[in-house]
Amino acid sequence: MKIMHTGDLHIGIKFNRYPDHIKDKLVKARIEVLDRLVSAANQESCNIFAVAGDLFENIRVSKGSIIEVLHILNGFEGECVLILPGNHDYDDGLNDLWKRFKEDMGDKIILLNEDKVYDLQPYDLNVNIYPAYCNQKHSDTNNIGWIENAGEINNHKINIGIAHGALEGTSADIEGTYYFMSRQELEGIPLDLWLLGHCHVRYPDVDEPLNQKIFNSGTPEPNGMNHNREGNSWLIEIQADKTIVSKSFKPGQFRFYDLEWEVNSEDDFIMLKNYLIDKDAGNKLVRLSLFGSVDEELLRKRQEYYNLFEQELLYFAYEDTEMRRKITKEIIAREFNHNSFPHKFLDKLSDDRETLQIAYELIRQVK
Amino acid sequence: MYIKQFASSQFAGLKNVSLDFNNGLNVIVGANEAGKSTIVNAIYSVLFANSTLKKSRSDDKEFLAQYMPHPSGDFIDGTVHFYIKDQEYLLHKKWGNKGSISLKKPDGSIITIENDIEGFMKTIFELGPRTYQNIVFARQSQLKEVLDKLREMETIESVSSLLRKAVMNLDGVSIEQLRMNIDEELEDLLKRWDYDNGRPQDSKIYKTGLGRVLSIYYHKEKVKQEMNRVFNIEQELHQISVELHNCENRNKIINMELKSLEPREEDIIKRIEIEPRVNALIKQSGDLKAISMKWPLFENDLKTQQEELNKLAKQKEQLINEENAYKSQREREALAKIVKTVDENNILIKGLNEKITNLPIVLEEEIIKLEALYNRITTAETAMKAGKLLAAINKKQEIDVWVTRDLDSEIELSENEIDANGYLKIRFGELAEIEVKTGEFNFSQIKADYENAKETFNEQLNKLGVKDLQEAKLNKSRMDAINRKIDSIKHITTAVLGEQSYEEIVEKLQQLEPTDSTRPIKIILEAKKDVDDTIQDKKVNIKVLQKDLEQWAYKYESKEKLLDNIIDLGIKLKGFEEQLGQLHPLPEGFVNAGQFRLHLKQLRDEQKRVGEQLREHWKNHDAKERELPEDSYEELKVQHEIACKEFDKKLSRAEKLAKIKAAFAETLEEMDSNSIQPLVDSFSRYLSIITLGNYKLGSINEHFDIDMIRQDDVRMPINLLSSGTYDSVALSLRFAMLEHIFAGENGFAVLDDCLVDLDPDRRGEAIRIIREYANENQVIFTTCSSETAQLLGGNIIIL
Repeated sequence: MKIMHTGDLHIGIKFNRYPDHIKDKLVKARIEVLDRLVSAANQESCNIFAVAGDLFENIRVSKGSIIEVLHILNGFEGECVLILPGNHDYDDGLNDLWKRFKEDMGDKIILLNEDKVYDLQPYDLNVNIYPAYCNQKHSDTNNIGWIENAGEINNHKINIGIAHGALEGTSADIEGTYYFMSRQELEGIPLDLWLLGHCHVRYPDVDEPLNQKIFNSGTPEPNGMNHNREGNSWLIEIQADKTIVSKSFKPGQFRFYDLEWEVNSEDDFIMLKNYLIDKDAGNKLVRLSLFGSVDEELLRKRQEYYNLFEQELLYFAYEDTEMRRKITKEIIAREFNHNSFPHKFLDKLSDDRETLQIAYELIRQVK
Repeated sequence: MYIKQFASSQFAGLKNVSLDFNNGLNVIVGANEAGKSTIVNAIYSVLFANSTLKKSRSDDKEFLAQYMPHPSGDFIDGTVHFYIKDQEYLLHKKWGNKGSISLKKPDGSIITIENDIEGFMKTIFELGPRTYQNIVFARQSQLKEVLDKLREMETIESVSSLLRKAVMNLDGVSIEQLRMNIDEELEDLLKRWDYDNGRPQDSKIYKTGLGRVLSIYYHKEKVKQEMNRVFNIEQELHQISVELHNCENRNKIINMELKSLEPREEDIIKRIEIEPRVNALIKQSGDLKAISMKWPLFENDLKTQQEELNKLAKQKEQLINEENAYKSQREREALAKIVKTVDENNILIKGLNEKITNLPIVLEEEIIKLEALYNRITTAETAMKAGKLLAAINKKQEIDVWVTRDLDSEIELSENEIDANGYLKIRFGELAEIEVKTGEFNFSQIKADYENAKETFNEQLNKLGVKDLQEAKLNKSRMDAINRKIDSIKHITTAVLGEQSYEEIVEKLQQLEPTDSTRPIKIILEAKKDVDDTIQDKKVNIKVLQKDLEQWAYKYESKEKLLDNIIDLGIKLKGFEEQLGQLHPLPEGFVNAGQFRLHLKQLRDEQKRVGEQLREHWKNHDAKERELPEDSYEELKVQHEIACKEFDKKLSRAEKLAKIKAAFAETLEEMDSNSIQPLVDSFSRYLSIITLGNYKLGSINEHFDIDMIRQDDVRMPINLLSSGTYDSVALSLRFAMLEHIFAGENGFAVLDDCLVDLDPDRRGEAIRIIREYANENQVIFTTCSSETAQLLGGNIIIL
């Protein structure tokens, strides 16, 4: 049996902080990646297409987006689609999102919004699903508790848990309000497989894990500067003896880079260029924070690189106030007489590189 | 630099004026109000004032009001023709509705863009206009405040800057500008920010005048607040949703239950009518059945109880007999003991009587008599011994002396001194006797009484056969003790016998037959009590049983008739049960129909209540959902992180700038110590000349705070100087500054009648200084005094 495991698509996210032309692309990309995932799942003859939460960005997604999503999901040729409400698109039983979704979802899609075992026998699958959906945005406890009390687990079936929440070690849930789950807790429940969502990075962080029991899909299409990783989903095969074979599937189009780059010579700019500029450069969004000390010439030349990045990348924003002209004792000695005020003044700051550079710039302004 | 010519078509009161100056001393002479000061102001305005004036600026308005011609004229202008290093320049400015400016350069080119011209002029006049106004353009009207003017911050800094340039190796860097830039940026960053405590100054909330740190701090906090607000709204929405959800679930449950219960309601109401009757019949039937069961049992029980009661009566009789036997035995033992005691007492009395017989009989009267005699004897002795007589006898010749003392016999005197109590007789042989008695009593009578009593007493003792009174008393006491003992024994005997006589008791004892031994009386009595209690219980039981049986017999006549009643009730009950069987059964969990109806009522009330709650919850839910902001908590969190980073950056920048500022101050302090010295030297030189050596400079600091030392070494603060001396100090400082303000190049000074208040001597020195300055520089001097003009000499221009 094969499963396409994804989550955190956040369809409906607005990207308001980007220029309109980029914003539109990013918004569309969330839908397009779903389409690619379904196509890939069909191509791989998957039986189940599972979304482990946060299919939508929030509970106020437009009806149009819901219809579009349902249309794509219904294009899945396998047995069934499992949709779990996450903390962004939580189901409190009242909001319109899931009411509308249910109205048009059809028979193939199963909305996992109850604390109960979903037997997939009607879909000709010898599978029991144990969902832990989110019924609110924040919660300091996860929702897998009911599974432990759900009675005996039928070992003749494939038993799969689907949960949404911060998995220990993959997400810095400092406030502890995102349905935190520990691996020990998950392993303590004798299910065959756990499909998780919430953290936007994949778990485990290898391309082809073997006999892994716990998976976190990560987002298939990165959506912010705080997620520098490539988009990911999992293709998971459960063999007759319940051996699990899996591989990473990377359907994402865009990459976000929030870089703090130290530049001390032109080589660093060249390295940055080689890192960013490739055939996918047009799909990269980069926020660059430069720091370091460079010579006057490179300081003048840096704009050429910025121009290049602006031209090649989809989005480029930079901050280089911390990249300063490299001030050395030699430069000070060359520019100012030994006994002059500037020389003596700068000499006092020579042990603090950054302060020295600021002082130097201030002097240059009044020379 | 020197000014070659000034010309103006109109400027205040000036009309078509054109004045030519030498590169040296020029003196403009004119009467008061002739326009001397206006010329000075016009030259200054051409060199430093903006040609574009704004009516909104108060300085510009004042400028126009002061210099625009009255009553007509809508412009003023001026041209200054000047030389710098032999290069000729022509600067023209015009003010009015449409101002203009032009500068003709040495190559003949003319520029008219104000910014360009100003840029050029700044290369000549590096310092601010006020500095030149204060130092170069000295006006008579300002002479009194000249020191204050010279000490204005801009002027001080300009001059300090120039001095540093001269003294300190600045390597082309403007220290003042650098300091200003550091301060400005620090101010820009930290305005209204308490850097040490990391919070807004005075913990206040500011709306304007925020530094960049405070500004980003407010932004950061605002985002944080918004985050909290959004989080709270999301939580509140969830809470409402939970309540709504619970309410809906409850509503569903109520509706389902009502749907299931309501169809049964009619039948249940009928049940309410029938069920109590059925219950009553069941109870009645049950009661009768119970009686029917009990009746024969009670009868048997009654019989048994009565038989047992009889047995118990016999047991009780046996126990009474045993008790009586026990008592008889105890009585016999008591009588025998009495007889024995009486017999023993009689033997004792007999023995004691024999003892009395052997004792001499001393009667009580005899003892009393003896005691009376003894008292008389002792009384007489006491009376005799109560006195005290002393006699001393000195024999003059040998003679026998005999002495009788008190009641004693006469004895021969053996000592010279004799004492006695009541009576003393001294007999001197046969010659004479002296008898001495105390005068308190009659000695002869006492003595007679004493002897009489003594005789009777001794006779009585003899009669009783005792030697003294104590022995007589002892015999009497012994006899009394034996008598008391006899009485005591007799008393015991009487007590033992009680009211009976000895003989009666003996007879009674002989009559009582000895009995066999019995159980202890305690056991007999306990057994008797147990039997009594059991008898009592039995009697009660029998009475109860009899009462029930009597009642039943009265009520139901017989056991058979009772059975008939039971059968009748069963028939009735069956009829009712058939009726109930046709009705809906009472749902599970209900004990009776009443409970069912009460539950139904409660459900309907709750349905109503929950319905109202649901409407309220939905209202709240919709309202809260509308409150949800565009930016989610997570998006705000990202914004907050960015703001925090920015805040840290700004603080870090401020920290570095503070370090730079400290390093700047430190460097300046190290290097600045001697920069003011050239000015001090010039100032001292001019001061010495102008005050004719009466004063010298005491001290001057970087703020140009000055004090002077008089010729007699008295230190004088400048505010205590006389008016003339004060003017001399001001003029000296001005020339000292003039020496430095043009930074080594030739300069100029425009002095507007500044000697008017100096006394003739000082004026002469001042003129000498002016002329000396004019040797290397240009001086344009205005005066209304032709004498001063003559003294000054140079190019004299008459207005």
